[in-house]
Order: sequence, then structure tokens, then C-alpha cells
Amino acid sequence: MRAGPDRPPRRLIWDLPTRIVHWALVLLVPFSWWTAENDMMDRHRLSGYFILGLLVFRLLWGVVGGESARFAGFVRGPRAAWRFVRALATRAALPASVGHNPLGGWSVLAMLAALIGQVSLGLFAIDGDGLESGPLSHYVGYDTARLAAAAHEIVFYILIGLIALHLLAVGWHQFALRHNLIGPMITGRGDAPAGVAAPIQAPAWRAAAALVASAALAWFVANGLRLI
Amino acid sequence: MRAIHLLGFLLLAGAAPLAAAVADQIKARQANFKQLGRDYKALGDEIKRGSPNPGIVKARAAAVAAAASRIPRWFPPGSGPEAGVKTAAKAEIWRRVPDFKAKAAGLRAEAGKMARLAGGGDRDAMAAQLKAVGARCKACHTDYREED
Repeated sequence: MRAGPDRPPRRLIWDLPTRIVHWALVLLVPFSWWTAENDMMDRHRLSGYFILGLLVFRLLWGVVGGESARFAGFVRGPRAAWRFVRALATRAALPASVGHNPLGGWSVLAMLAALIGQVSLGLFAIDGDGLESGPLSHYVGYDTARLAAAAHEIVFYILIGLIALHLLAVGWHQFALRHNLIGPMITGRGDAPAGVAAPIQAPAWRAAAALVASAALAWFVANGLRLI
Repeated sequence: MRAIHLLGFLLLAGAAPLAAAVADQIKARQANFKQLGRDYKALGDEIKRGSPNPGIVKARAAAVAAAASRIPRWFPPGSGPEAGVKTAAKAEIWRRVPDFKAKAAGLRAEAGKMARLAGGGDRDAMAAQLKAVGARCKACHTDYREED
């Protein structure tokens, strides 16, 4: 690759943990849907436990992770989001940045919130016969657990809506703005505009610590909040 | 002409309570299965606890066993989808009565074992038996119940 003055330098935008969480969710969310549709509830629960672990990891990584993964870095106020929307609508020059833009940050938060809600509801849900149940359903009564199951179905549609919006936005960046978002989410590397510093990366030991903590918590919840 | 009208009236007058009776049968069946689900869940929840309350375990296991032995009676002829009332019961139930009854008997046997185990304190055995009962429930749902 020629690195001339006309080509902005390629820099690490998304660290490996952030990318792994993203693509693992891309695999596990459809897998969860498919196993539920085909009455494979053991696999459905297992998939949910992995998603729970990924979500806990992502929340931790949003606090101790690399700059582009941190909530403090990408969660902007409504005014910044609105300015971004105005700039898009008027086709004005978008402010130079790397990582999530002010609107995309809210999209990420909304998807994370929907996933957290969806996994939490699944933990308490049962089917009408009481045969299939989430690992925490014995802490609630039959009617509450059925309510959780009904809400588990509704939140799934909310999640699908948010994912559809996400895909539309990525497609729009790709084709209308000629801005490749998919490549950097795979390789981690992308064009950083001139004058914008590459995101600061977090040391690997923090990812390892967050992984151990999130795996332990997911296991504990999957085990019905029991240690043995 | 008048006789035909009279006949039609009599038929309608006779059919209306009949339809109501079938609707009641279906509603009662649904309520019975819901209660069975409640009892099964309560039984499982209690077994999952660190120290199950033997009174609760016994009562719920007995309720499950009693319901299991009554299931064939919850499906009188005519209470299938042809009744025009919303029901997940498939018409196959009444086309394959011997198989349906054999499956119900299988559930009754496992639920009876569960009720007998409920008197003892062997939690692992109870948990295993609960799964065996659940498998018998599912055997019928797979063949004879519409997916929701």
C-alpha cells in the first residue's frame, strides 16, 4: 500500500475485544432466534449465557477498555447527536472523528439496552407447561415467569428493529457516503482523518481481567445464582 | 314449510347449548393444563431449593399425578378443532385414540413414580424423575398440540 499524502494513514480504530464482542453477537443473536423457533431450548439457554457474558464484558470494556470502546468517549449529549443529524440532512461536512459518531453511539447504547433487557427477561421466563425455564425462573411465580416470557417475545421485535436500523445506517455510510465501516470492524483498522488522533488502546491484561469477571458472572447466573 | 322452520328452530335451539357445552369443555381443559403447568413449575422450583419443603413437594407431586391420570377425560369427542373454539388440540388425538391413551398412561406412570419419590428426601432422584415426567408431557405436545 502506498502511503502518500493523498491517502490518510490507516490506524487501529476498534480493538480486538470490541470486534470479538460485535461479531460474536452477530452469530449468537440469530442462533438464539433459530434455536427458540426449533424448540432446542438447551442450546437456546446456552446461547443466552454466552450473550450474557459478552454483554457484561462489553459493559466492563466500556469503562476500562480502549478509547473508542469507552462510553465516556462515544456517548454524546443530545445536542451533539442533533448537530450530527443536521449535518447529514444539509449534506454539510461531517465533523472529523474516528469511532462511533454522536448518533451511532446512541444506536449502540439502544442495542445494548435491548440485549440486556432481552437476556434478563429470558432468565426468568418459562413456557406455559412449566417444562422449559430460564435459570432464575424459580425465584418468581408462574404468572410473573409467563409475563417475562411474553415480554421476551416483544423485546425481540424491538431488538430486530434496532438491528435493522443499524444495518440501514451501515449500508448508507457504505453506499451513500462512501464510508467503509465494515472493513474496520473486521480488521480493526481504518482511515483516520488528518488531525484526528488514533484512539488510545487499553492494555491486554485488562481485557483478560474483564473476561474472567464476565465469564464468572455469566456462569453464576446460569447456575441459578448458586456457587455449587 | 312451517314444519321445516320448526325443525330448523329445534335444531338451532338444540345445537346452541351443545356448542356452549363444548366451549366449556375446551375452556376447562385449558384451565386444567394451566394448573398442571403451575403445579409442575412449583414442584420443580421446590426441588431446586437448597432444602425443599417436603409438604410442598408432596402436595404438588400429588396434584401433578392426579391431573396426569385424568388427562384422557379432558378430551371428549367433539372437543377438537372442529368445535370452532380456539384450541391447540389437534384432530389427530381422536384419530389415534389408542396411541394418545398410551402416551397419557406413560405420563401417569412417571407422575405416579414422582409422587412416590416426593415422600423421600432424595433430591437428585426427584430432579431426575421430574425430567422424566417432563419428557412424557412433551411426547404428547409434539404429536398432538398445535405450535403457538
